[in-house]
Amino acid sequence: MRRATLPLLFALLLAPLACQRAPESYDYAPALTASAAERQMTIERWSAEPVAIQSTTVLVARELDEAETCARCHDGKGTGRKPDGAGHDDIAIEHAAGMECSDCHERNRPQLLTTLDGNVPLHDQAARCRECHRNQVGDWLGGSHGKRLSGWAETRVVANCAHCHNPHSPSLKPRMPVATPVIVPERLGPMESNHVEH
Amino acid sequence: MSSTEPRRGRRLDFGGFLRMIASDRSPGPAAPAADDPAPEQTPKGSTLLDKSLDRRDAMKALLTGAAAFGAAATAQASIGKSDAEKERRQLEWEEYFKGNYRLMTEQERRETIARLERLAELKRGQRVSIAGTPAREGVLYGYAFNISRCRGYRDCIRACVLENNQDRASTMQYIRIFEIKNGHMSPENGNADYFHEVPQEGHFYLGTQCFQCENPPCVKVCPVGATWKEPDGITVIDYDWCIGCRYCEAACPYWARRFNWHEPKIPRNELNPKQHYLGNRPRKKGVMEKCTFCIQRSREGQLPACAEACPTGARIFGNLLDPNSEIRYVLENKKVFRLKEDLGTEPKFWYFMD
Ligand code: SF4
Ligand code: SF4
Repeated sequence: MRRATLPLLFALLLAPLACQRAPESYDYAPALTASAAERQMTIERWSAEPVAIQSTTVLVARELDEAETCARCHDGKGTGRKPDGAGHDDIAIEHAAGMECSDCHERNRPQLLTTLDGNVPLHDQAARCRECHRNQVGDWLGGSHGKRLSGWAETRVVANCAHCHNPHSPSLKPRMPVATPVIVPERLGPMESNHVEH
Repeated sequence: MSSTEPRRGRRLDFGGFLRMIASDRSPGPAAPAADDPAPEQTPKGSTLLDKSLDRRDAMKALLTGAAAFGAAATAQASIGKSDAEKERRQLEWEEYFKGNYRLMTEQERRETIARLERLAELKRGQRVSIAGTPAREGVLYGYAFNISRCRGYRDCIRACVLENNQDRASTMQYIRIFEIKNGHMSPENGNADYFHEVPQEGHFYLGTQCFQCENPPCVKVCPVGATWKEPDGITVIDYDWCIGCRYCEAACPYWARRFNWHEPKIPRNELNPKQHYLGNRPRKKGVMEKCTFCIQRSREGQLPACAEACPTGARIFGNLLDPNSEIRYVLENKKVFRLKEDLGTEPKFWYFMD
């Protein structure tokens, strides 16, 4: 069951995922609602690498893709400049000190990511991340880093790197904690404590 | 019912009971005859417990008799309503005398589940489905919590409360997230009551809940066998067998158990209708409850609600007996620890750091 091999089989396995998600009230990760077509399998080729992982098949939620990202501005007809003419200058890189675009993007075809073994498409981002964050990607493949999107007994589907980390500013930002679910209105009067009442 | 109290002392025999109903009836639209069967309070009622008597028939006779008197006393009795009321009371009566879920036959389990589903419909007008899904073969659940990833967001707590139908009025929560100063290692030095931007500089976050101990002290102390460990390692409670003595709450070294001091309150539109007998079906006043690793989800192959809701991936859940599971990867590749290991409770809940 863990060793599915055919893309078609993946699509079939993933089809039920789209409809059996949790109540929307805590459907936190957007990729949980992704359709089967939006997910894609990569990875098995790394299983022979010396990082400490088992060679389990991993499905990666795929949401970064030329079709979805570039086409937001580049329809293939115009100059590709945004209306304000800014191009990509508005992207602030808050990654490691001194990094620039071409450290990850192929200079003339930014929809491709550079790796020592050649270019990879955006949704294979882990191949690029791994060149610096070897331990994290190893743990991600093994299962202790990152977020599993499928149930424990289903084929393993994990979130992709950029699902949680904005690659241009990868640290997660502080925020307020989630509030306690609402109190029943008719009980909004004085609340008894569990520890004083008998 | 204000008329309930004075009735009690006068209940001497079955005929008296019915006469009393007829004479005590208020002209209100409700059917007080059907309000409090309390047959154990009548000498006649005790014969219903006699095994030689079919309880269902006896109850039917009793209720039909009572309803007939009620109808005679009030010409405007609503037939539909009293039918539903009759059914509700009969189901509650049968529920009252059922056994411990652990010892029930398959047939008895199906019957009580059917009764509870119907009762939910009769009482709250809500359709729920209560599963009795048994443990899977070859599965032992384990949980790992990454203290270097948890950022104190508490999405897990919210998901848990919504999933498990916890009482909103007392803000009952199974999970605590402790904010602990770096350098300290125990939740006792932590604060689970924070409300500020997280994570705070110089702190880490550690979550607790029921650890589903492999050697659970809570089970040992229960005087009535209302709580036990299932074959897949989940410690469960039969909410209908629990007598509410709270011994287990005192015995748990991890503060995992919660007691219902009041009738739990859940907003109608927030009730989770996908339930399990040993899991998130609504509890009642005076019984114990706790985390069950979302038994209604985990036994269907899903992640517990907390693990699914965690936005940082700090929560890892899976089958300890599957060498390819994520939980096994954590146990084999990370430095892990558990709380109060020296007690020998063998919690199946590990903490680790990257
Ligand atoms: S954590 Fe507490 S309630 Fe849970 S199994 Fe262990 S002793 Fe029992
Ligand atoms: S409170 Fe309920 S489950 Fe706990 S020890 Fe008492 S009877 Fe058993």
